[in-house]
Amino acid sequence: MKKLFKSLVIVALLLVSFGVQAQPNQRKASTIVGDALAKFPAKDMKLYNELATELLGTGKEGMDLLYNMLEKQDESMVPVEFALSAITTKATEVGGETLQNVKEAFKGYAGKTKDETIKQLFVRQLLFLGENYDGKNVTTSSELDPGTTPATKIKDLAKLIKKGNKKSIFDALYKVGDVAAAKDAIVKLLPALKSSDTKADLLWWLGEQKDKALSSVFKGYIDDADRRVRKEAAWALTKSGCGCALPTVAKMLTSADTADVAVAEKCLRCLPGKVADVAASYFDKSGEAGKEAILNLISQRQSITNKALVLGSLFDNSSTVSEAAFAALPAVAEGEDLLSLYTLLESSSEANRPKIQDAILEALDGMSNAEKLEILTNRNNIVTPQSKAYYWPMILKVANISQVAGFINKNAADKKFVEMAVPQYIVKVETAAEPGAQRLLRYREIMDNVASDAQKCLILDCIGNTGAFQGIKFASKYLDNKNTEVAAANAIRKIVTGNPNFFGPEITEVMNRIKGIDTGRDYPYDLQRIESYLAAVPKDDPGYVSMFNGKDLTGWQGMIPTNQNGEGDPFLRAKLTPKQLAAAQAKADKVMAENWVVANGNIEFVGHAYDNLCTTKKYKDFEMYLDWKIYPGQREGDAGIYLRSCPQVQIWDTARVWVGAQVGSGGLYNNQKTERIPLVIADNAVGEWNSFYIKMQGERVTVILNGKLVVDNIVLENYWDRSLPIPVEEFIELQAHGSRIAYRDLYIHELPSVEPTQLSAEEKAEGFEMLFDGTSLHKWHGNKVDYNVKNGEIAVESRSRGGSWVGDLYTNDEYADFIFRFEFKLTPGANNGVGVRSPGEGDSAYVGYEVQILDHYNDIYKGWLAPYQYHGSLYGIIPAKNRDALNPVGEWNSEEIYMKGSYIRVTVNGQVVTEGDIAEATKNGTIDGNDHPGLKRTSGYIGFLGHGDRLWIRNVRVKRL
Amino acid sequence: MTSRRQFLKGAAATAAFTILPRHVLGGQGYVAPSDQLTKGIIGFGGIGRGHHFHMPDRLVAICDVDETRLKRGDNMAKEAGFGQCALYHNWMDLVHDPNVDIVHVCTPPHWHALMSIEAAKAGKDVWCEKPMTRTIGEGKRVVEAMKRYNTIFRLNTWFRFADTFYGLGTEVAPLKKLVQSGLLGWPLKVTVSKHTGFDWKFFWVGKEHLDPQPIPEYFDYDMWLGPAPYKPYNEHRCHDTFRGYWDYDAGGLGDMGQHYLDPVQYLLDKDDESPVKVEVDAPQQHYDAAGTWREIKYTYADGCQIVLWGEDFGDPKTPYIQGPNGNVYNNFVCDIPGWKDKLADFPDPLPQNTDFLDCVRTRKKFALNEVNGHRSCTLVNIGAVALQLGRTLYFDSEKQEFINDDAANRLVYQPMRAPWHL
Repeated sequence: MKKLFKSLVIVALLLVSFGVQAQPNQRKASTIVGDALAKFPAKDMKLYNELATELLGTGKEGMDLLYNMLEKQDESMVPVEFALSAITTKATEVGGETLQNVKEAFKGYAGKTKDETIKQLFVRQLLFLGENYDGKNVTTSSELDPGTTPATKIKDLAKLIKKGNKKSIFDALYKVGDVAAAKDAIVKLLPALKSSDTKADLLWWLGEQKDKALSSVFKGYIDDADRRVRKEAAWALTKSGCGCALPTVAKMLTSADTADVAVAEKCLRCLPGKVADVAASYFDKSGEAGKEAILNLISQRQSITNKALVLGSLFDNSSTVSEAAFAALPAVAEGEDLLSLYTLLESSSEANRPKIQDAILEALDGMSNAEKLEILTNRNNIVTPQSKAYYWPMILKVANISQVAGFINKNAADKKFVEMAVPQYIVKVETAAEPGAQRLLRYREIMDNVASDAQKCLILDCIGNTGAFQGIKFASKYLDNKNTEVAAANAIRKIVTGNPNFFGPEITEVMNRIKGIDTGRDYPYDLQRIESYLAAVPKDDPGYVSMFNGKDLTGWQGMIPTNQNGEGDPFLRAKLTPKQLAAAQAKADKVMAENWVVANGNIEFVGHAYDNLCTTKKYKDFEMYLDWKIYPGQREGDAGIYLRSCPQVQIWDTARVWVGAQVGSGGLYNNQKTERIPLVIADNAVGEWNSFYIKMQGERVTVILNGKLVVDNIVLENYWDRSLPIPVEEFIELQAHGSRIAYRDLYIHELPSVEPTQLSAEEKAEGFEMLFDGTSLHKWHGNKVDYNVKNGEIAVESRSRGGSWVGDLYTNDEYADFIFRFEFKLTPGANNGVGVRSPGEGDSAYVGYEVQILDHYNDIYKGWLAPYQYHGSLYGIIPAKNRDALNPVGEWNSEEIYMKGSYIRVTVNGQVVTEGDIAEATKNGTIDGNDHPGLKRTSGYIGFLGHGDRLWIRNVRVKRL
Repeated sequence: MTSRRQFLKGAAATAAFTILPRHVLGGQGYVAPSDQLTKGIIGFGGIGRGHHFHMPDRLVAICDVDETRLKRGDNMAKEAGFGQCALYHNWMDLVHDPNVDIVHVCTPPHWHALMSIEAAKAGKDVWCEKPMTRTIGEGKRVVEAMKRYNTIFRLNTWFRFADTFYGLGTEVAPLKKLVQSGLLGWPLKVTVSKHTGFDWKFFWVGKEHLDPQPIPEYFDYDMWLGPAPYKPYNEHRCHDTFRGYWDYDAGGLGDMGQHYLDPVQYLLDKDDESPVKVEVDAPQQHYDAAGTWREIKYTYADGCQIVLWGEDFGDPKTPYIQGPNGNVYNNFVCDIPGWKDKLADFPDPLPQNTDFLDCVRTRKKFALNEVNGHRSCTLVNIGAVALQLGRTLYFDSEKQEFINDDAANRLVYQPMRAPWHL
């Protein structure tokens, strides 16, 4: 779309910078409207303003055009609606005559149309334009301004207050106009009022005024005989903002009425100043409730100056006071109290222990969790076995997930401890916001040491929420235990039915198995979910199959070293005779048997060599899951997964900064041109398990490590010969790199792959070369992001990028005279172009040549395209003569561009659409009147241009002449 | 005839003189049905049946223009032990039902103002769904009417006084304490986005250009539309998807705006004022269907700002509150060194009146009433106007009108379809 859009921007810029109206003879209204419609809805305000200004400039002519399009009700209706509302808002900004004109036009359309939807569109626009369109369904509000409610007269207020009707008093108070006069009147009335209830209500209203000047009034009622009056007076005083509130309200703490004390405490919480100190000064004069309130306030203000008072009250005769003192302990605890707190903890009653534990943690405040952990662990190590239990809750609180897992696994024999720690662990995992795959790994880490079946069920419930593929097999182990089978069945069902991509023989088997497990109240529904899942399992796709039987290395073989480095180059391997291959394989299998073992239910590399473990089967496109773990204590923790016998999805110990491992695992380590560094570091600590999801489609690879995307659809380069794409079919290899590695739970799902398109025998004989066979863009350079390979086609589908210029796609080689053949499919209105003899950068239509690609059948181009803009035109130079050769939108087209010297011929679907001599056509200048510096070029790249629109390209080949 | 409700209010007024210990009759904590406040629910859709149905006032009447929903309400009420409720097709009948004390307005927003005002005129108190009104003009009218007719009004959002504030990981009270302590400095900037725990629910976008469909027999579309402009029926306009259309609401901003912004207004102590400026960054909006947006930015006269980010827009590491002296992040994490100890020296925020039924009885204003509710709804509405016009707007907080922008002001006061009018 760029060329069509460009002229528009230039005009828009002119309008903006010079403030001039578009010259009527410069561009036709239909051109402007057509140009703009392709851009609606505008993606941002800048474009919106440009388009709106443009459209408004077309006046009645443009509006009529839009209205007529609307009445035609074709598929471009929605952009037209956006265009019309853009005219509206712009007109309201411009105002004056322009606005009047738009208003008149829109009124006309609203009156003319027979379609209710169209009419309502204009009614809405007219609302913005200040015209309440007088159709039969719209009326204006007769009284938009209701006036104001009459204010209460002070005289009436006084009368009502004396009468004492609660509702009337409040109704009047909310309508008071002269607040100052009302305050005065109420203050005068208060002393004589008989009803304490009215008094209290009025004190509340006065308090809401937050008036410092009234504080002396409020103080006068703080000792009132009525409890509610005292309460409202205290609150009013608190809200007044007067400094006198603190001492006055604090005195209430000594009241014998516990309701007063409660009010005082609540007020004091909301008062500024040295609240705790003032309150503490009343401690001795206060009763039990007052003392409790004072301790609460000391706690609220974390008043360390009153620590002695708290400590002195810990063992008060009153249990109320004692409890409040323990509750206040965390607020006043400091580092220097640590030893006393230890002693207190170890001798305390069960009930007070949590508060002392909180106090200890507060005393450690300011330290890092690691430091806290060290201090608490040190103490834990020297106390009596019985006291240890008091320290564990604190230790578990400050430890991180891995550390808690460590404690659980180390103290697995202590069932009581494990039982206490597991819920803590679950809470930590569930609140850490880690991805599902990672949460699953966390639970697997401790599961073997969880003794209680009830807790196993808790964990299985959590596993059900991970949605992680590896959880299916893991949870199925717990189907064998009667106490855990329901939780396991629930977890499996949740994971499997939560992802339609999870299917395969093992999954079908386990789903059939859990059909028979009664899961309780929801069993009929659960059963239904399982049945509908099973019914939907694809019949023609085996899905995920296991690559490892858990017992031996069936399905695996040794890697045949083929070059002098002992590497397994598949291209060299392909050159071996069958006999040589068999011998080499036998030798490789022997080496494999020495270095690879099945241990702990895993495939493990235990050797020191560099012999990869190879699948016996070759794979094309696939997705796979596997877990891996680097054993700790090795200097060179390193491994990887070879895809189609090419290195590799990297695995390494991130501590090995001297080789750059700090970037994390999962990256395509051997890439040079495309990205090799993982997007994020997602590794777990050495010695812990990690989960890979690897997807390979064509030459592109996606890797998710522990639930985090680390490689996003990146081309894997051919390490063996970088000028070629990677093989379409080869082995998957588990890399050996001299260090001990374990792999488990390997599952692979083979995906439909694209067969490379072959040249016809005829073209082969004529000497054509395949430039794009459906599998790889390795013969191309430039923008491989917006032009990406999908289903054997080049898909250009980055609509969201809009106008941002990120480059075109060009051949690697330059061509002078040639025949270029390709097939393409368009979307409605789509615009692209074939650049020929292009310098490979800049706008090829001018700095090289461009053969237009355009769905010129689309309505948005009706009536305004220049002849040289139709499909097949040599843009701006030689117009296409035949405009009917394109197939309808959505169907494939074939095209040939023949270029020799200054002669060009474009053939579409077998019909010649453009033919001519460039020198001849430009001897009097170009027909578009633009400068074409590219006319001087005799050779250059061939490329696809423009990327605002969606289209597909396939089967691209070329022959040099 | 004296209605039950007037008697009740009278009884409350003379409570101090009544020597009748009710708990003796029914045991401690027992409230006889005759003493319970009663409610009528207008609009028995998701929020009416899922939320208001369960509130503690006793259900006596239901109104809906969809026969199936009305029937469902009848069944639910019977199952829940409310007995036979009065069932109304016309909401005016419910408003004038003498058995109803409190009218719950649970319709789409284009009805809120009309129903609240009519309920107030009829002497009822009002429990209204958010957003409070669809236009600023309607909001002004509600404020005035509640005053004129002595109504106790509550808007149905509650995060300024209760519950964890969505994904922010904290209640609002401790935040209020921190903000009013002044430790963060002034002015403050609050960012309400996915990154700080708030989802703007862009699934509420409308569909552009709906084709007309036949109106279902059980559905009174004309009454459903009421004051909204007439547009040919399409099921996507109504019931569970109405939020996507400017005629009835304002997309995710309308749905969640008052939930998310009312507490911010409370935090910033802006219950009596509105921003002076609103800026938007968004794709062009359709005239009928509300769309998505990247940013809406409000600025108050004192420099305080509220920034809304749609979907993933903006820096994920942005704090919830930014101040000159410190920032607050999700889960109540503050970056002022030793802030917890410093904060302990400061007072708690003042308590709020959070028991609506108690407010109805004692005639005290509810914590979130028509006055501050109108201000927070104004945030939603000036955002919606700026989105529709696609330009920066300036607002007069006192007059509650836009400055020098006639088109914007036409959206402050929008006409209603006859015969409805305010």
